[in-house]
Amino acid sequence: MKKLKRKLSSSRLIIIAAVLLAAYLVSILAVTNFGQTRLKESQQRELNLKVQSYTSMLEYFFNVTNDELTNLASDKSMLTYFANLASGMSMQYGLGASLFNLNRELNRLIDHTEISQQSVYQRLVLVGYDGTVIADTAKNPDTAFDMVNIPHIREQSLTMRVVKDGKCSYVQLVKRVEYAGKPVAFLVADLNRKVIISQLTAQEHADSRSRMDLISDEGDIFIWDSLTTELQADEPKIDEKSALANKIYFEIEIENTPFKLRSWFESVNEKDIFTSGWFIASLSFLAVPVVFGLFYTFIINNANIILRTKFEESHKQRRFLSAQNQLLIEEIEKRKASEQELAYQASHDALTGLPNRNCGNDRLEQELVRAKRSNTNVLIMFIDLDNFKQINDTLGHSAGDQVLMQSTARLLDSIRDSDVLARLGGDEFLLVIPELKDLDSATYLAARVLSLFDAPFIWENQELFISTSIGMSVYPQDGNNVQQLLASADTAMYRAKQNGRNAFSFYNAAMSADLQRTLDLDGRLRQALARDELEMYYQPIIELASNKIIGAEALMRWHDTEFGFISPDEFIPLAEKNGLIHLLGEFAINKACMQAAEWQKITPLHIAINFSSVQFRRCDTLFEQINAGLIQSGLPADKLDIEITESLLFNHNEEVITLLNKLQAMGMQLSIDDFGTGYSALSYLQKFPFDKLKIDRAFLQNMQDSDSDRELVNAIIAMAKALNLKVVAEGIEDQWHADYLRIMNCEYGQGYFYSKPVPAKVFELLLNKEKGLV
Amino acid sequence: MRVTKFKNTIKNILFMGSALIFSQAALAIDLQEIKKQGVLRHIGVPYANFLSYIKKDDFELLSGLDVELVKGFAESLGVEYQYVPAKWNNAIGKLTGQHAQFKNNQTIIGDECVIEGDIIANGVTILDWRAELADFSNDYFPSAVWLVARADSDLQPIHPTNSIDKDIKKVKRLINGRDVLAMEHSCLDPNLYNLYSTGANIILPATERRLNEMVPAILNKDAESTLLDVADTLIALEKWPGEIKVIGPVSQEQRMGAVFRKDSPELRKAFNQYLDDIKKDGTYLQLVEKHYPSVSYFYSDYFDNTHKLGR
Repeated sequence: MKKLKRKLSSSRLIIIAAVLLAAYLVSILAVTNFGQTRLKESQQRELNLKVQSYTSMLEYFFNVTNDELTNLASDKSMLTYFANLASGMSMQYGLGASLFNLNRELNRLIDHTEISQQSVYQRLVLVGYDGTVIADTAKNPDTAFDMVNIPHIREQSLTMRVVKDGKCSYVQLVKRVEYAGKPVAFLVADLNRKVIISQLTAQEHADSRSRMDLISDEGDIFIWDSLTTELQADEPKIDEKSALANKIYFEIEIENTPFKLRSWFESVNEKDIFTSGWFIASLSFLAVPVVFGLFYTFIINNANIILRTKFEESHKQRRFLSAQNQLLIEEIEKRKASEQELAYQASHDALTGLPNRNCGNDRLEQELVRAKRSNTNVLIMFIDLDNFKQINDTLGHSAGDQVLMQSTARLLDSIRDSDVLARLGGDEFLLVIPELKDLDSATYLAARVLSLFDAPFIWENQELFISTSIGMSVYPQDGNNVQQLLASADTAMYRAKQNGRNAFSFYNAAMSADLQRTLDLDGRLRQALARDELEMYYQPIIELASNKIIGAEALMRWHDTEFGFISPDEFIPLAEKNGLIHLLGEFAINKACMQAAEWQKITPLHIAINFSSVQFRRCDTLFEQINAGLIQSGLPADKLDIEITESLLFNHNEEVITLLNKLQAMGMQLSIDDFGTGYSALSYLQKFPFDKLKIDRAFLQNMQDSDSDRELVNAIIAMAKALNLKVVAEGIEDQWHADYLRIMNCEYGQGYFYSKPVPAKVFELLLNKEKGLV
Repeated sequence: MRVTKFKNTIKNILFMGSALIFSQAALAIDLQEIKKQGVLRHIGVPYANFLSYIKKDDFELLSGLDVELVKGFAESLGVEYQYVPAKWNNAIGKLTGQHAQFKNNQTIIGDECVIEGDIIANGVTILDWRAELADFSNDYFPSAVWLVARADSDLQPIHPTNSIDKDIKKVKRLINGRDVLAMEHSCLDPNLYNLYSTGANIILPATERRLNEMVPAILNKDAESTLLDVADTLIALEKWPGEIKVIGPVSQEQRMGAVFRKDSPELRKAFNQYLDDIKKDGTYLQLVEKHYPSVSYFYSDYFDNTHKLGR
């Protein structure tokens, strides 16, 4: 049903309507055409009927007239007259009265016989059989009635004829009057022509376009003409006859009379009737608004369909939506919850629950705004856990996490509600303390924070000792926005680290100067490298047993034209940070190898080159550099010592081990430098294929006075022996050092006691001098 | 219904009138008295279209030229009209209170009687003997007496000679030995025209007849011919066309008038005046044409005197 309805209500309905309309128009045209044909026929019939009605009317008229004349002929007055006449009565005695009566009857007939207020009879004359006029209604009876004598009139009871009197023709009826079975007279009645005309033109009018004649053998009577010319024309003229040729023509006899009615009518298609072409045109024109209406309906219907479809669709969607809406509301609730969570997460650190960097910055911003308003000071405290990275690396992330959580707990316990604690990331915390009274209280607070870390952290029954470095800046003196203040605190914190950690430091302007120097040096170092301003110095390594130079440690020296001599301790870390270390390393390898290869002519000298752990981040490049250095210089691989620091061991990976094994396999010697200063893990010594161990000079400085240091050196040497490592002692400054170490079976030594690092030419002099060449 | 009422009214008036007459017999009843009494009594004998009176049981019909004439006159006087039926032989008596008859060319005075009316008007021919007994008004209708025969009679109408006397003689010659119906006391009285001297066999009706019964009588073959006044003849010719024929005149031209007592000259005068008035204004002619259409032609000369005939 619905399908059917949809089918019907679609544009098909419009098409059906259009087809119906077309059919309707065609049928109307057909019907109109048919109707026109029928109209012509019907007009023919109608006219025929009209003419017949005229003729029958005329026939009736003549019948009635005949009856009237018959009545008059047999009227008592007529009979009386002729009876009295027959009886021989004289006009004087009696007959005159009868004649008077007769006359009166004749006149009465004229007076009382009217049609349309016109007398039917113009004149009645009673003519005796002998031709004498007995009675005459005419006032001036001067017309002769000799025609009565025409034989055929005598023979008939009634004669109808047309009499022409001058211009006018009229109908005359002659009624034979009989008395006692014998004709005695004729009653001659002149009919009023106007009556006949009015009878025949009852349905005609000036616009009817018709013409009629009453014709007989004895003459015609013109009746009517609205077709050719004006009325009252007696005879159709010759040219009119031709004009009548195309008209509808009837010629009908009037029964019981000698007359025929001749008539012409305008045919239908020559008339201005509504079935003409105009009608069809107007009908077609009528179709135009209908078509437009249909077209409009079509558009509306289309729009309607679209609208309905949309409506249904929207209805469906609404139901679907209302269902979805509920889900959405639930979803929104969830989202809100999760957003709140996310917002929390976004602003808070997941591990410690503290505000994160962004949030911390915001909070600091707020505090600054508040402080600006209240004109108070704000203390910004940068707290960094010392060596946290090492804990993470050695004990795993869970240990690090535990340390962070416990650190957080300790910090939170010690601060006020108005203070802000945030975790900036990694092991960095930000502590904002508003309404700072003075620097003393800041110092107090910093000391308190440091003391919080005095107690060890417990992780899996292990005690972990962690210290912190604190950098502090103060609003407004160290900066008036968040970035400045944080940068200041950060700078201060690095200073604290540089100062040996487990300390706090206030920011001062000098720190900024240091920073500027660092930036300047960065640029200068790049220039120096490009201009080949760096220089390699060599410090002899002495075989303590023979007291002879068996090797040299290549050390880079940089004398800047502006800043003067710059310590490797300053520019190497800088190069490590800005990535220049790789270029510096390559430079060192090439220079040292070339120099060492040259010096092989003098003595089979070992050359030791320091490698930064940063260089090992690109093992392939490093290998290429070393290999290239050896090949270019032609230095035998077994004459090259690779010195690495303990720090490399913390961050080692398989690649590093592979590289080290590979270099050793090529014949190179591996030395561990600065042993004992860092987190010296003895397990590394087993794991890595070291050949030599270099004792840091710090152990030697107090060795002469300090038993513990002396014992430590002994232990290190003993351990190295146990691991089959050669030992190189650094920082030998006097004979005592040299003697003691020699006694302790320390194989090699270097230090100012022998020679400070010197340029290549000076070192060459030392070699030659020892050989006795100089 | 109306007629009955009218009859009752007449009865009452008759009663009252009789009482008056008896009480004041000596007084002359003239115009003044009539106006006083408020009634004009019309004595009438049914005759041709002058007066027709039919009374049978409750049906009563009164019509005719003279009825309308007298009614009009009464109306002009402002009095009631009253019809008094009479016969030819008692009409004079009812007017004058003295019966009188005309027999053998002389008037015979009869008994006295009650005066029942004031005017006789029914186409009364002005005759000498009547004029002795009463006064006539101015004449208002022409008349004559003709001889009318059955159509099958071998009497042939005379050919007019333009002389009435010669025509009368011709007729009188024709009736010699013929049966001629006549009626005494009326204008058809044979004595008036000396018919007994013509040798005609005068037949007087055995029973009392009315004048308009004369033609039926000859058609009934009571006689071959009859005397008949012109007015009646014209009516008869139309009534029985082809059955009767006019042979010719018996009398000179006559006149008719209304009859009054000799002692009521004022009334007569008033009547004459009335006649003049209606002749002048054409009312009279209309009345004549209404009751005697063909007479107007026949006596066109007479009527042309007062007005113009014709259509």
